Amino acid sequence: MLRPGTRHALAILATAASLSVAWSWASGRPGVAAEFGEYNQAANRIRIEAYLARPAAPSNVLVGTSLSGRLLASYFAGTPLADMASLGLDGSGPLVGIDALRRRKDLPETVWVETYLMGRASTPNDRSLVEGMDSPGTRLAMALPLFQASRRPSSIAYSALKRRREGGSLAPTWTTNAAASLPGPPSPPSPVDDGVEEQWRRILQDLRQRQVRVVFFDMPSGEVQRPGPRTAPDLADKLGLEFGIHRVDLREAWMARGRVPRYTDGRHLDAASARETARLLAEASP
Amino acid sequence: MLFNSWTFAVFLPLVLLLHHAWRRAWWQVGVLTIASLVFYGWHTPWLVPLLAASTGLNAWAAQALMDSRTSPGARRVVFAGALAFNLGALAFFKYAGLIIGTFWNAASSSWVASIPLPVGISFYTFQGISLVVESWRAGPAGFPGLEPPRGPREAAWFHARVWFFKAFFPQLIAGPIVKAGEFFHQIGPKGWANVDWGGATRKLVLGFFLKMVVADNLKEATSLLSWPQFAEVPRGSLLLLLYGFSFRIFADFAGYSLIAQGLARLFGYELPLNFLHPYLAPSLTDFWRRWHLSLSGWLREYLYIPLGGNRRGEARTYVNLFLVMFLGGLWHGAAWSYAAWGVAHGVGLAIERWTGAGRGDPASWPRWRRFAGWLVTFHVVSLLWLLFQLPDIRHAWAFVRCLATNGGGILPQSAFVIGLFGLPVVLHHAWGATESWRERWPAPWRLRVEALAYGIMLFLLLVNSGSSGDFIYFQF
Repeated sequence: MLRPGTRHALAILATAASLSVAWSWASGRPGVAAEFGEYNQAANRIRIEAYLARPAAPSNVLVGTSLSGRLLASYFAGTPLADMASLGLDGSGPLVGIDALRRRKDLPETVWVETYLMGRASTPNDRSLVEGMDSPGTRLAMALPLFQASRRPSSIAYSALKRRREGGSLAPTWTTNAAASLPGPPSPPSPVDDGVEEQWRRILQDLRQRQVRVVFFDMPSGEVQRPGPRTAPDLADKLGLEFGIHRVDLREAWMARGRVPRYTDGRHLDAASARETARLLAEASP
Repeated sequence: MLFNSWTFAVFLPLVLLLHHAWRRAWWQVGVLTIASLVFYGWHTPWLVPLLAASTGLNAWAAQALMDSRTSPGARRVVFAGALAFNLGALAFFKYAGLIIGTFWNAASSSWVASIPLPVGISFYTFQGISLVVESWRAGPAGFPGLEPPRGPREAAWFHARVWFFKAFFPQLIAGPIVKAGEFFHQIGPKGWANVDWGGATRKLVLGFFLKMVVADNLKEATSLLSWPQFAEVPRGSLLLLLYGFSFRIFADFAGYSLIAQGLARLFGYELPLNFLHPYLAPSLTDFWRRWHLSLSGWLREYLYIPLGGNRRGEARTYVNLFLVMFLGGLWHGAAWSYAAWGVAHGVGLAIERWTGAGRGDPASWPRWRRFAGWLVTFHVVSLLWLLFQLPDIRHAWAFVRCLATNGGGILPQSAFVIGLFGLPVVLHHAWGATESWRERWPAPWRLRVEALAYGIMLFLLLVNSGSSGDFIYFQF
């Protein structure tokens, strides 16, 4: 005969087990899983786990910062990049995205690398993301989808609220502004931290050997709508020349159409402009 | 080793099985002491010799203080020497940088500033002082669970128990601070039947839930509460950030204490209560009867009362109160902002004492007074937590200015996170506030509701934890 305290402990475990089984079923239904995270770490976990959990690598993967993180995989539906996976990571950069995609045995055909923060060395946030990828928690999430970040009740609730909020705003929100189409003054290239250029060189050599095509792209970021010429080549220019990598400037693509995208906070695209940017990227596919 | 790490998930069952493998006190004390040293030195093995030195000296001092052959003069020397050693170690490792940096120039303090703070030193040093003071007070009679040894075997057992008391891993790093008199009488052979599974499960589930679901999920949202990030944040969100940090610090520390209590119960030990729904307090006086009880109890017993407490006149009482709160603030960290935090609380307590606002049992106060008192206390306490997050007092002041002058509005994303993950702290306090009402429910119903509540927490722990991180109180 079990003591009352032991029975109580078992009742707690049984309740949690029942809820887990029910949630595993409910959150696994189509359209329920979270696409957005309620904060950066959660959002990044959703993207990384979604990529690692795929049965096969997609043909196209974009790696970058929170700027390109706005280009959701679903925005590429119906374009030549329909199977695009996004590793645009909040508060991080393209190097961590590259780290994530190289964790799979199979690689995509094309990797789209956002140029912003390409030259930045690993930050504590980057290291915490990499530690997360190495952790038993990620391995557990790969084995049991219940533990994936996209099944977190809070992220599912946040995604539902965000989708509802943005649901009506997918109509064009961009504007035309002739002044914005004028190029800004010449600007110096972004700084490159020690050792980063060499790190990229090794990565690009490895990807080339494994027959993965790389494309660089510049995201609109709101601060300067149409940047002026660089006073010297930046990291992407140098590596592009060395490895024969094509570069797509999405800021130019917007201006060429006489349009100015809209931002939620001055830097990150709103849903409608992000969807349009995804279309422009697909059109520019070399 | 962190309680919320995968390493600990392997470590705990191993130690639990080893501990219960043989029901002999010396075996179990030995297993737990060795396991505690492994736990403590897992990431930084050099900390173990420091803990060992502190423990060895305190054990030797306790034995000498209880030895009937020690002369009164020698006892005084041992007592003063042991206190000086404990306080000296704390001063060297924790406060040397602050003292030298304050009174001499920064350059001469550079090597001192590089001395790393041994994790848990504030906690285990206070336990060491407790042991020395209790041994001094008890003398050759000893106290329950720790009698003076007679012969080498008893001496070995005496030292083994002191090592266990100081190193017991559930409370080693961040408390609760256990007083010697609360612990030694519990040492003895423990069987599986001594384990309170129901109590341990409840403590562990609630503790891990508060830490991993509440505090860890609030961590990133409240990181905006740093200079100069908050300068551009709208007023409504600043207020939410303040509440969010207040909830986070409670969830983080209360979570740790509950986990420590739950773990101790798995081995058949009871650690003291550390939190009693502190944000229900309608006065600062009441707040300190509910927040970090093991520290306030320690300060009362070993500092406030020896200083004379409130028995030496009104003026001396205020001085004692001020001194205790100043030192209590400084205990939290080697920065003047912590001292300022303690002083601010001390001033608040003094005002309440002077006006009589904190006097009497709050349960007997009129409802409006309790509500008004709660509203003021919660906001004062939350504002003062700013000094923990913004150690530069100018930045804390800038936050208050921004709170008054920034534009209106709320950032929806941070409002969602703080609202959602702050809610369990509110519910936890509501649970505490309705305790007497729930006690009137039929027992089977109460147990079912509790099983459901704890089951939901365990479920959320499995599927909705935040990214794991250190406990805030580790830095103290």
